[in-house]
Amino acid sequence: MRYLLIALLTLLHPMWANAQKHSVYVDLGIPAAVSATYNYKLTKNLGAGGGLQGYTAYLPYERYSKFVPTVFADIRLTAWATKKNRLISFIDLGMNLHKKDQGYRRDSTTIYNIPHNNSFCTGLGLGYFRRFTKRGGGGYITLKMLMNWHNLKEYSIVADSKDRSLIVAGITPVLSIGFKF
Amino acid sequence: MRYAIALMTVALLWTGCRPDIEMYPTATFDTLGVQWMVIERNNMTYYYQGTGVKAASIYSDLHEEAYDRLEAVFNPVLPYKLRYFVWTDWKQAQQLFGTPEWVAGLAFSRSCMCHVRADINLGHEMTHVLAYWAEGVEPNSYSRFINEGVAVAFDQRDHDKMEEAKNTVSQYSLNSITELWADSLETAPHELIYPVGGAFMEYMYSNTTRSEYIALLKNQALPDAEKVFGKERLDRFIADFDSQLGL
Repeated sequence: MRYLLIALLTLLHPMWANAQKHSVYVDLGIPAAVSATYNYKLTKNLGAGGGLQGYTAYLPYERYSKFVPTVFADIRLTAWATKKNRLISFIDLGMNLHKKDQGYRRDSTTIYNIPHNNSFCTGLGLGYFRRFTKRGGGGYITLKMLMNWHNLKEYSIVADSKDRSLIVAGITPVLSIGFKF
Repeated sequence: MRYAIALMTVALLWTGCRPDIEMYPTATFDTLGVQWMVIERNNMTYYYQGTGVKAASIYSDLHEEAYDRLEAVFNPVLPYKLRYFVWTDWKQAQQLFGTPEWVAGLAFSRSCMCHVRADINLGHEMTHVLAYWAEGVEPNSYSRFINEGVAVAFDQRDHDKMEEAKNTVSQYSLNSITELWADSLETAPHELIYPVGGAFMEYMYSNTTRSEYIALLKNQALPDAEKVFGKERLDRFIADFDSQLGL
């Protein structure tokens, strides 16, 4: 654990020194979710970056959820900023990394299947940030809507012409609390 | 933004790739006024009223896997390969066989044949046949409670059968499962006898040896089952199960 802290401090220290440009957002959420996002400030209100997260994803046509790691690119917009308070919004685009479920679901004369590993992830978030440190660090709370986009195959026993290929999304709302370094 | 659009496009195209499904149709077969698409597999021969090749191939995969699991339980020795007719127009089958509205499948165990509505539980009708031919011996006596019970117990659904049975009995005035077991006139409603029989046969599978369980399948009538387990022991099983059901 202490080596992790040392590594984090070593990594983050130069960023704190350039806090105007570089920042890292780290948060925990419910249902079980964790994320770390690096952000580079492009303009006064706009930043871009990327990160890693893990969250409890609900897959379409599954009866259970599972913890899924994700890599993503992030665009972050700051609005209504005062000296200490501001609203933040962000869009994440990335990939959920997980193995496909080998199972098939049946419903009447149709069989459903998610044919591939991994999936496309989009996240939309809105939150409130409050600055605690002189260098711009502070706490924040966000509500994210994480969408887990899959290709879903529908195969019909009635006729091949009724087979369909759909893009569907499982949506997971995540309430998270974190700190911006 | 344009990079984000490019990334989304690539990801969506990538997720749209076609999966590999092996195609199995081997022949067609005309009977019962239907031209069936035939898929010959290791365990069963499948006859599909529909023509959806990919779905039928996956459907037969699922049933082959279910058969393998059930085979390990019953060790069936069938005189013929099991023929499995999958109807996509079940109303047509109901008219043909004259079955009640609620029936979703028929097993002709002696002739190793099932006729099913496409969405029936994976293992139900198959279990009727495999349990009938367990160890290659036909049953000496029949009871609807045991026969339907074993089919529900091994229908390959992943759910709590005891919980389902408890919820069901709370809606009926039942004093003991012996009322269902001894119901030789088959007057008990199917909504009651199926879930309770399923939970009981699952209970017996957990609490008896395999040879005893197979003996029960071969001697389904209550007096015959008493000979298999001994009256006292069977009464204890029934009393314990009744109390678990809250009777």
